[in-house]
Amino acid sequence: MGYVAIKGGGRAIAGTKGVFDHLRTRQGEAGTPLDTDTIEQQLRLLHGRVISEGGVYAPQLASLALKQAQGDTLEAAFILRAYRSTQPRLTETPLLDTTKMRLTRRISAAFKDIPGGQMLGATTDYHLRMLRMELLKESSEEFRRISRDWFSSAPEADLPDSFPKVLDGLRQQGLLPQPDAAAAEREPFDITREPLIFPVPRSAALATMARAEQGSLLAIAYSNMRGYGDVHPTVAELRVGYLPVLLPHPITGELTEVGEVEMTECEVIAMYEDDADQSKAVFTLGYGACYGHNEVKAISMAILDRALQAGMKSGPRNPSEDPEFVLLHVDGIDSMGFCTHYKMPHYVTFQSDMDRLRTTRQKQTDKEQG
Amino acid sequence: MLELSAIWKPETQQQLFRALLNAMARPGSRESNVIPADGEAIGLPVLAVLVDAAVTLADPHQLLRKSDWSLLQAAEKSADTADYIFCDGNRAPEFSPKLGTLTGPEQSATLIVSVSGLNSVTTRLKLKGPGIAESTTLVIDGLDPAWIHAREDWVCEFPLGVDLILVSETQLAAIPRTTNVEVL
Amino acid sequence: MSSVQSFGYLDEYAKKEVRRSALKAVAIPGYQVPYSSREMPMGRGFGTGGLQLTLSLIGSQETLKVIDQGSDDSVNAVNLRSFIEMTCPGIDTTTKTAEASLIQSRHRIPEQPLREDQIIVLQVPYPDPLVLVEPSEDKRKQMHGEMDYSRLLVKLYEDMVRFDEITISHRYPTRINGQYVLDPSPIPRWDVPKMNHSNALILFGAGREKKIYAVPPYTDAEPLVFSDVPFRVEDFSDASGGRRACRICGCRSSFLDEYSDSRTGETVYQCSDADWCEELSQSTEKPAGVSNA
Repeated sequence: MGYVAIKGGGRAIAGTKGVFDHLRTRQGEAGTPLDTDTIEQQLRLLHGRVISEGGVYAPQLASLALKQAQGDTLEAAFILRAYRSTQPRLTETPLLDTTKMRLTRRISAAFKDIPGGQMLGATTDYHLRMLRMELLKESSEEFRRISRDWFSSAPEADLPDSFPKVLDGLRQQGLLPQPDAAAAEREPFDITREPLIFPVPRSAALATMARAEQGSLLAIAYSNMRGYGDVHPTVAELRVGYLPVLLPHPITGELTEVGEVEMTECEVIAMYEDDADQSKAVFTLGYGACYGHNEVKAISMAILDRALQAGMKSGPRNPSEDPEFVLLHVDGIDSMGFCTHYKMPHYVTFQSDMDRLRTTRQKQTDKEQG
Repeated sequence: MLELSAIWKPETQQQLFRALLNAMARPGSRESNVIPADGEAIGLPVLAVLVDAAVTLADPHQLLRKSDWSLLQAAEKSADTADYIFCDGNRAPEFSPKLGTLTGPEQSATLIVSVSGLNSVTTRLKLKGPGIAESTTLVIDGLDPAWIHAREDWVCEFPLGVDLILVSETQLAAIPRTTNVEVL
Repeated sequence: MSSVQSFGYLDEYAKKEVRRSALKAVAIPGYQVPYSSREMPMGRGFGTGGLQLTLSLIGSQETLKVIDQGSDDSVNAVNLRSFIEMTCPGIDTTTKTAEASLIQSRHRIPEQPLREDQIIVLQVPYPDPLVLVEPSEDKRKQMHGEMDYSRLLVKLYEDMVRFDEITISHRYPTRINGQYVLDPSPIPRWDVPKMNHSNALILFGAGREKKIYAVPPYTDAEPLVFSDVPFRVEDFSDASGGRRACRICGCRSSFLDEYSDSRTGETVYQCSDADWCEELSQSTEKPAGVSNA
């Protein structure tokens, strides 16, 4: 057995790994290494984003990925995704019912009063975006006091269980299309096992968007909001919470809760149209859901789901309605990989480019002179 | 503990895959000494390389045992719809395998055909096409003549077609859809 | 939690899918077979498609060569090779083209003609030559299905009208077995003729775009041209029309890298294929076309 001897290229790579890791420890003596629990709790939104884009619910490994990537969300999601590639897929859960979510936040923009009530929960929506200077030098005592006080002042009765869906009421009034019963029977498209060959089913679109890069989804959804499209959504319901994950018991076969995943789910109502199965017009819907607490992503996804359904039905009229355009450009791992690859040597192709330009210029000179 | 036959081991499958790849790239070339002699059904080692739960398999001549199916993991389908068809070369094909579509020619069947031998001469074929420098001769023992005509019908509209893998107890050879076959 | 993987990093199911797709690719020369393409621990665009092929092909008896821009010591080549060495214990690696049973390459096909017992895997950023004229993959699939390459020919024609020259420098569209047109990966035009009736099987892997395709050995591979406009490889003539030579080995028949000498500021030329250059430099008997410059 023999390997190629390590030369300049190998030494350069070893060097860059060293300096990259050194930058993590630049605080020197004063520094303490970040522990994964701190990342998971104190940078929880960043953490949730990495889980969502990495497409694997592994809280501790997501923290590790963030630590290792020194906070780069694209890199961290990428590390998780690559880890996922090495794991066999052992089983599938049945369809999980999100009305069973243990909610931490739930709002509707469509109705003032909703069954179960609005629950603002943890949101920055109404924060004044002014720097909280007191956090600059936060003491451990103060940190612990906040933790302790919130629990002691929150009556147990305020900690809710689960709520009915806002859309149920509208559906009973016949203002919404009937759920596609056949869709529930169809095997959902598995984007990790099959390439996207267009046209793709809605389940493929939803799965792709659920692990899409947040900024990419937002940018394309925003183009629709601004006028390159006409979804004009009303957020019927946005919920954040923990969804119980059920699996058949290995012996009895009975569905058993094996854990829970934090999720954000959004349902939007859009302009009505004639329904194929019903005689009268009904509202149209868009759906978004992703791992973690990530409202911008869930809303963007719900808008794009509606836009894509419209595009699949009557042909795309703008980029956000074109399944190929949206779904092939929102994956962070794909797009960042290709973007960074341009830094690699392209000596050969550039040599070839120069050859073409010189030949063309020579011909132009010959023509001018001739 | 149940001792699995070598054909289910990653090292064996890697070597056999390389032989399959070479056979497909060089139609008519015979690959020898790659199939472990474990007393399995002829052709099963090739299925073990190619098939898993992500694809479908047909066994129109019932060559597989129940235990083979559970290790192969593939869902069973009819020969008219399956991704892989395992058949006995001694029997004439009485099915129409899927040939793919113009935009998806890969959605066509691959036929694994067990034959008695690739050394003795019952059928002598002259092959031409991609992968063959000029022309080459393939001799097969135990292939019903109806196969050649059926294949001709299946591959007449490139890119549609089927690819054949012929397997004997010790050897294998392939005839992809691009190969021009003449019976000598 | 362990991050130790099985031989070849990918799980056996992932390898099976790549293997099935590679066999189809060989059976349908030039056709881009879609596959699911797992994420690898290096960036999409850094050779993950080629790598998945290599890892699905490789066995412990293998002798592997990895090159990028013709060089075994390019950082990306080093990175890929050491990853493969790490995940495939027992293999040999080499820089010598003649010793390799499997070669993974980005942007070059070695100068040394390959043999029947060798396989070359090329890394592909853009698998579809029609992307030059059509952005939608769905529409391109239809065009391939009908083997309709008229818009590519129109693009070449427009080049001729505008510049009196075909402007495609690398990734030159090439028709395989008179049927499908493929993107030969960003190899220079210099390497395109090497695909025609090659002794070795040529496999192409596009990880991000999730496609595998192939040129089988002994198969027609013809660059797309007009009958009155011949296909031309890169020109390495100097001002007086003589062929430039590599400044190290003196070869006048290889693809050259051009750069300026940091000391003298002079433009210098050197073989792009590092092994070719090395072999020629050490050999006392130089083949035709090599001068002792």
